[in-house]
Amino acid sequence: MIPIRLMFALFGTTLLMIVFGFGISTDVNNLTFAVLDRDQTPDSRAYLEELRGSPYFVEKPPLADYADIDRRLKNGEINASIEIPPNFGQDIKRGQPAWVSAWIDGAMPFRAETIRSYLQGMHQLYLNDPAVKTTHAAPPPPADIEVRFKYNQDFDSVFAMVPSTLAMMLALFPAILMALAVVREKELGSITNLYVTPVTRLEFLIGKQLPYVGVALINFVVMFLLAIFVFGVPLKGSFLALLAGTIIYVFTTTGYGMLISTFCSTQIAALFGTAILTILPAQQFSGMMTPVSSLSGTAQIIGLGFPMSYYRPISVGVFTKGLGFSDVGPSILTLIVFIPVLTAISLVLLRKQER
Amino acid sequence: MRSLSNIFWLGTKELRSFFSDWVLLGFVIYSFSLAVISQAQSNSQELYHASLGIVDEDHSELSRRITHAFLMPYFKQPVAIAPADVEPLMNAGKYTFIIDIPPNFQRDVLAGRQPGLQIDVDATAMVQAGLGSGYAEQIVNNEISTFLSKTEATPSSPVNLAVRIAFNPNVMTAWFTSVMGIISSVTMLAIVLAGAALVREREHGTMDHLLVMPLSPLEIAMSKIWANGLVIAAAVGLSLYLIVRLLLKIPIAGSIPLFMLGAILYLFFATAIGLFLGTVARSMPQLGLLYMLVAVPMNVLSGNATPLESMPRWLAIAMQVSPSTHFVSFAQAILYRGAGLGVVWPQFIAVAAIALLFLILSLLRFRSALSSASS
Repeated sequence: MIPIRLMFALFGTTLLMIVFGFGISTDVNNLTFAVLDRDQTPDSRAYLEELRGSPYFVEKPPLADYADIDRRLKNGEINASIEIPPNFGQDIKRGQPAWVSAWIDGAMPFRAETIRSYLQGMHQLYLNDPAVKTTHAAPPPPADIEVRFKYNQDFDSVFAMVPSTLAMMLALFPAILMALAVVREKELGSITNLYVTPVTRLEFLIGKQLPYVGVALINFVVMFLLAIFVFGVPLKGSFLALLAGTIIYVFTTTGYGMLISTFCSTQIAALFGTAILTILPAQQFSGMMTPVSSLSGTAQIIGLGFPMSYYRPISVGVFTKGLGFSDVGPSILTLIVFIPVLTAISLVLLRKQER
Repeated sequence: MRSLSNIFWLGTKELRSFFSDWVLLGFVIYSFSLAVISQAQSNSQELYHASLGIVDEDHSELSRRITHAFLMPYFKQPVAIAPADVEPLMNAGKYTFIIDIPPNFQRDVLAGRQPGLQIDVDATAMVQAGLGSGYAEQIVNNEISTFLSKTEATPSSPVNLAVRIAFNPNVMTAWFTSVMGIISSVTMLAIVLAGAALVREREHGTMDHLLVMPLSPLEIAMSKIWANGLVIAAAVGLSLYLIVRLLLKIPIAGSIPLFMLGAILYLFFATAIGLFLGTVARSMPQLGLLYMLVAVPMNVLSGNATPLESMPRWLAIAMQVSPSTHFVSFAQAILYRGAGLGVVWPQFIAVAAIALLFLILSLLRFRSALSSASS
């Protein structure tokens, strides 16, 4: 391992951890909307007041007509439009049901769904606002429904995403470096040293693996400190459980790179192959966005076969849920199973290549 | 003319080495087929099959109605659990939602005593918890109202809100993630192919052969760009027609040729930045690290998984420099909203300008970087 590469590996993970820690967020805000107020009465303004006071939304210049709604949704200038019909205020005074309609840009489904729930929440706030004078008094709710956000009361995505990003970084770097290290020897021919010396294949693979396990663990320490001191994500659970899980995890992620390396003969294939086989599962199929149990089809199969699906619950669990060995034990045990399986398949495939 | 034929013949050499690497070819096919299909099945943008547990301490008609109101495909079949198991099950992440219906709930509702009902949400499953908690609350509320409306008429609301979603009325993830999958494969593949094509020549010493031949750096660079770009453009076109349209049956609102034009501009950029990284890296492992630093953020933060609006302002502005952000943005505009060239041209120009910049940068570095490294 040459020092420049080591420095780069450390620097790279740190940089990416910072960028992703800030960038991968599901807290949707700065949403843009514009209003087509065809009523222009104090009542219509009272309705829009809830929306205008919201920290999630930014208002753009008012809409002129329907064609304007269409055009500005299409070019992405606004995420949502609100239309208040004429006679809105009159209807309220007469006690006739009044209708407000909203259009939301559905090009990004998650954003659209979030906007929908924000709008509905604000609509509810308006209805329950005692200052809003309508002819009917709103009926008292029949039950007191309380939604409790456990582990993360403010529902701030950083507490879930930063520990997940740590898991993602430890999946990507060790796998790619490991895969390239083995295939490099094949492509440049230095692997013949293995065949002429009495080193066994197992010794060769483990000898290749250990330095990268070491680098990954140093990376872990750096990212752990970043999570606590830069992102302010406190460690609520057992550090030892997290450490134990991490050590086993980096053996599995380097093992994953090793497995890919055994069937690649060029470094290009190894680099692209490891990238496509790690980045996609890490970002999409390991529970970072959606729980693995809610995936379907091949997405779920890929997720279940990827070590990060078992480490992410450990990382998030220890950091944010405050868990210890007893709770994360099953995940650690599942990760342990990966090690002999990955190593055995790699040995078999490496043997075949030789003949 | 001479130069064009050089570019052409050098490019065919590039194509031959690509097609002789069977494993690489396999990965490329995978990344534009199965990887796209799996992303379409990730349900990562909607509430789908959320796991739900119910602690029913009431055992009344109302509590059973609430239990049965949670329907597929949004929620999985609710599972009855004991009060003591709530904590360990949530710790293990088995359920995203657990609803606790207290004893005598129905009796208290009927008596107008406003009994409490708790919905525990695992707030570390961000997307599901965010989309599902309001929904779950609404389901419980509706169920209680319809239960009550048998006995008394609930007055209608004075003001109603009709929300409609444009361009993707059922808000389906697959519409979005399948095309985003193609885009991320393009970014990853184009940068690797171009960058590695350069580093490989250097590691094998064949770069020296090229440099002593009467070829200009521009010819070498352009040959790598057209050859690698052609392979990927073909993969994108096939993937869009065969996988997204035919297999996944996703309706495409806009013009595919216009999207392909944008994709080709983007490929020009991605291969140019790949070449640039190739001139910086001295070995493949170094290229691998550089690639991770450049390609992964370009992919993950382009707005293809989480919205740009969620990022801190400095990062959202910084991502405007990355053509991947423009690519994602015009892909959404063209394919979903049916936008035409009149809407997307500023983004096309942004991509082309950044591409040109990187091409010039890599040409400047080309000869000096390569000859010094190989000696």
